[in-house]
Amino acid sequence: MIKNFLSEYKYELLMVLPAVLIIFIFKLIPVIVSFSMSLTKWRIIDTPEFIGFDNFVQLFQDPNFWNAVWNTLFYGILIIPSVLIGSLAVALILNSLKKGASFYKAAYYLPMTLPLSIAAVIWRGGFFGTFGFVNNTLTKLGLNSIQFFSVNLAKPSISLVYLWWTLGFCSLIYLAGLRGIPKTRLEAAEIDGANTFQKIIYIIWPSLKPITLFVALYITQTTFRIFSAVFAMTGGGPSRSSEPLLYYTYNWGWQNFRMGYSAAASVVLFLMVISVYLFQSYILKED
Amino acid sequence: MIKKQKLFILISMMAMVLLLTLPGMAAYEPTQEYEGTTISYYSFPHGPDYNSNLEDVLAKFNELTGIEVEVTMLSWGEGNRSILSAIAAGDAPDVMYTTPSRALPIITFGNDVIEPLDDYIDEELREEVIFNEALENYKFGGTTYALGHYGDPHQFAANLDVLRDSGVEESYIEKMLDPEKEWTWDDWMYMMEKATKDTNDDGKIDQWGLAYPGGVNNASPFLHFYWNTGGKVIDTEGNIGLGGEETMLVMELFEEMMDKGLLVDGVANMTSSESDNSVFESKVAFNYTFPPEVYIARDEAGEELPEVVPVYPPVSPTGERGSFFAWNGVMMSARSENKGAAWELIKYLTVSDEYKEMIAKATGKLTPVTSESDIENLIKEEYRGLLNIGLEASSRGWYLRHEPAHPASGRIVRGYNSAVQNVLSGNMTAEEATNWLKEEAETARDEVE
Amino acid sequence: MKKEGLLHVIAILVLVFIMIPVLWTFRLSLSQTYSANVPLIPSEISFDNYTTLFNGTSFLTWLKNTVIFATVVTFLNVLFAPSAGYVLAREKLPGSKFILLGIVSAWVIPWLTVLIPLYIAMSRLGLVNTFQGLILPLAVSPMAIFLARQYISNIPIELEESAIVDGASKLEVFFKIILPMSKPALMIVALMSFIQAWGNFILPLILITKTSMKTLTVGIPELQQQGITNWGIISASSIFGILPVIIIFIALNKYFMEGLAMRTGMK
Repeated sequence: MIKNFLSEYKYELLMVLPAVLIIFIFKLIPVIVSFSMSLTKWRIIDTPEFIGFDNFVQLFQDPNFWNAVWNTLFYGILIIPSVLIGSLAVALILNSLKKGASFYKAAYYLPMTLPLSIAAVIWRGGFFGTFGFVNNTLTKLGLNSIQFFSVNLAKPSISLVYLWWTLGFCSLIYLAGLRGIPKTRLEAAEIDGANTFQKIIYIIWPSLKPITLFVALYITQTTFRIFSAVFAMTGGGPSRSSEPLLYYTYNWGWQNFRMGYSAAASVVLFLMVISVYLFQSYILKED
Repeated sequence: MIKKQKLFILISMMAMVLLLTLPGMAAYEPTQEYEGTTISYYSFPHGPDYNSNLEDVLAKFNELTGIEVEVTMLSWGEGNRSILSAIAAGDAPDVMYTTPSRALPIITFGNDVIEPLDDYIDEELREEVIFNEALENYKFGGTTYALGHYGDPHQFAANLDVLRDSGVEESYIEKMLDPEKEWTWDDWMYMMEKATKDTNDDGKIDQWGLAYPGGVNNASPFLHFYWNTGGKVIDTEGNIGLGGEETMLVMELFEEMMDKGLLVDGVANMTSSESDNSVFESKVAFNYTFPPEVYIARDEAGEELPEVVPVYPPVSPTGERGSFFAWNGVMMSARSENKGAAWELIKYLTVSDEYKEMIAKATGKLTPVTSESDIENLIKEEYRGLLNIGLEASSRGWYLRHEPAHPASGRIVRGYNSAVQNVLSGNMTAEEATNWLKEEAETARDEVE
Repeated sequence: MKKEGLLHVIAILVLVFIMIPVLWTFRLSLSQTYSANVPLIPSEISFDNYTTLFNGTSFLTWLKNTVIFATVVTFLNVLFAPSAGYVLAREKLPGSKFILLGIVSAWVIPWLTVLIPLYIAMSRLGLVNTFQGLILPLAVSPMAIFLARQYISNIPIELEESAIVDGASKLEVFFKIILPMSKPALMIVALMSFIQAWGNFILPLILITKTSMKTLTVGIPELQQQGITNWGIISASSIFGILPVIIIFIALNKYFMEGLAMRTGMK
C-alpha cells in the first residue's frame, strides 16, 4: 500500500517534502510544545506543573485580555481594508503607467527593508513626538500641537506606521499578480467594448482573487501580530489603550513569569487569525 | 653573633613595615589557581567605548590569572530573555551581569539557579568596598546573590542658566548645591513657577519648570520622586507600600504642577530621551534625572551647553531626603562548573583598579571601590558633579535601598507609570490615582504569585 | 495624456509618503545625535557614524554574516517554495488542503511564541551559534510557499493539459511551463526571503550569542548604552540594510522580468 503510494506520487512528494519537513521540524513541533504548555504553570526557569485549563479560565476572566483582543481587532479594522484597497489602487496605477514604473517599484518596498522597531522610533521621535516635525510645524503656524499618543490617537498613530510599512510591498505583490493576467483576455474585452471599470470587475478582479487572498492573509497576520512598533512607541499605553494581544502575551510570559498563561493567550490569538483566514478564503473562493 | 641579631631585627622590622603597607596596595589580588580555565560572561553594553575597553580589561584579567573569559554582549531590551532561555535550557553562563529587578525573579522562581555568595565574601572584600549599597542591594531573604559593580547615582538635574535668567535668587541655587543646606518642595514649586514663561514674547509659553518622561515604561521616573519621600514599593513578604501617604504626596505634586502649567507640553507621552534632551536645550529648568552620558556625549561633540548640574535631593514633606542609587551587579550560575574561576571574575569586576578606572573614563560612573581621590584622578572636572554628589549623599545615608524586594516589582512598574500618566493627562485626580495604584499593585503582586 | 499625468501625481504622492521616513533615517545617520528629534537640515554633515561603524565595531563581521545568511535563505526558498506551491495549487497530493492549512498555521504563528521550545531544541541539536541553526528554520518560508501556490493557481490549467497531451512528463510540465510563467512570483519570493532574512531579529537573538556570529539586527544593539540611544549610529546601520536590498532588487528585476515578455507574450 505504502509502496504504491510512494511510487505513484514520487515526484509530488519530492517536490513537497523538503518544505514540509523543515516547516514541521522547526516551526510546527515547537508550536505544539508551546501550545501544550498552555495547560501548565511554568515560570520559564522551573519545571512546568500541569494545571489543566486553569490558564484559560483565568484568561477569559481578565478584563485586560478582552481589552487586548479588542485592540487587536481595532487595528485590524483600521489597517486591513486600507492596505488592501490602497495597495490594489497603487498597483493598478503603476500597471497603467507607460513609463517610470520601475522607478516607483524600486522605491516602494524600501520601508520594509528598515527594521520596524527602528522605523517606529523614527516615526515617534521625528514626526509624532512632542518636538517632532508635525508638532513643530503646527506650533509655528500658531496651532495647538497634537498628542499623537494620547488614549484616543495611540492606535491610529500606530496603524499609520504599519500602513506605511506594508503598503509599498503589498502593491508590488498585486503588481506581480496583475502581470499574470493574460493580455489576450483584456484585449478581447476591449474589442467587445468594455470600459476600464468593467474590465476591473469582470476580468481583473476574478483573476486577482488568489493574490488578494495572499495579501489579505499577509496583512491580517501582520496586523494581528503587531508588536515591535507598539513596543518601541508606546509600550502598550497609555493605560493599555494601544496594547494588542501579542504584547499582552509577551508580558505575561516574560514579565509576570507565567509562560503557560502566555501560551494560552497565544492559542487564542492563533485561533483568531485562522478563523479570519478561513473566512477570507471562503469569500475569495477560487472559481 | 651580635651582627646576626642586628640583621635579624632589621629584617623583621622591614617585614613588619611591608606587612603594614600591603593592604593599601592592590585591591584585587590575583591567583593562579584557575589557570587555563575558560568561563563565559554575559554582559550588557554601555556604548562602543565600554565594549572595546571591557575586552582590554578582561585581557588584563587573563594576564593576571590565566583565566580566559568569553564575553557575550546582550542588548538591554532583549538580553534578559536570552539569560532566561539559557537557564531554561541548562546552558546558563558562568557569570552574568544583572540588575536587582532582573535578578530577583530568577532567584525566586528558579530552582537554585543562582549561586549564593555569602560563603565567598570575606572580611577583606568587605573592607575594600566603600559603598555598602553595592553589597546590600542584592541581599534577598538574608542571602547575598550578586555583588553590585557598576554604580549609577541618580539626582534631579537643574539648568542654572534658565533659573538665573528667570530671576530665581542665588540663595535658592546655593541651597540646592550645598549638602549642608536644605531646600523643600515649596522652594521647588517657586523655582518652577518662575521658570515657566514665555521667553520670546510671542504670547506662548516655551519654557517650563520640569521635564518628565510620562510615556515610558522604565522604572526610574516615578521612583525618583517617590523615594525622595522615603516611600517603599513592596517588601519581601509582598506587603505593598504604594498607595499610602507618600504616594499621595507625589501624585499631589504632579497634580499641582500640572494645574499650574509647570510641566513641559506633552509630558504625559514623553520619552526619557526627549525629557533628557529638553533640559540641555534649555526648554525646562529641571529634569527628573541628570544623565551623565548625554552630557559627556554632547560636550565631547563640541556643543555649547548651558550650565546643567545635578543637585542634592530636596527635603520632602515627610521630612525624608531620599534618593535613588542604582547598582548593576554580577552573579554566578549555581550550575557552573567553574565556580572558583567565576568568583575570581566577580571579584575582579567589583574591586579591581583596572575595572574601576575603565568605568570612570568610559562612562563617568562608579564601582564599589571608587574613592574621592579616584574621582579626582580619573574623571575630568566637568564630569565629576554627579559622582561627588553621589559620594556625599551616600556618606550621609540619603540613599535608600534600591528595591525591588519582590518578584512582582517589575510588573508593578507599569502600574505606577500609568498612575502618573493618568494624573498628567487629567484623567484622574491625585486621590483617585493613589487608590487606583494601590489596587493595581496588589493585582500585580497576585498575578505573579 | 492628462490621465497619465494624474497617475504620476498620485504615484509621486505615495512615493513621498513612503520615502520620507527612509530619508529621515538617512539624514539622522549624518549627525551625531542622541535624539531622533533633529532639525530637518543638519548644520553640519559628517560621515563619522559610518566610519565609527567600520572601524570601532564588529560591523563588517556582522555584515558578512548577514549577507551569507540572507543569500543562502533566499536561494533555498527559490529552490523549494515554487515546487511545493505547485503541488499544493493543483492539489496533486491527497490531503493537500490539510497540508496547506498546516503551512498557513505555521506562517501565522510568531516566532516569539515558540522561543523557549525552539531554543531548547536547537541547543540539544548543537545548532546554537551556527550558520545552519540560523538558516534551517527559514530555509523554506510558509509565506513563500503560500505566495507561490496562489500565483500558480492562476495559471490556466489548460496549458498543462495540452502539454501532457503533447507528451510532456510531469517534471517537464513544471520546469518548462509553470516555472517560466511564475517569474513575477519567483521574484517576489526571492525579494521577500532576502528582506525577511536580512531584517530577521528574533532568530539570531535566541540562537546567537557570540559577537563574531551575530547578524546586523542583533549586533547593532550591542552598541547601545543603558538608557540612551545613539541615533546617528543606529540610523547609519539601518541604511546599510537598505543598500544590499536595492542591489538585489535591481539584479532580480533584470533576471526575472526581462525574460518574461518575450516568452509568453504577456507584458
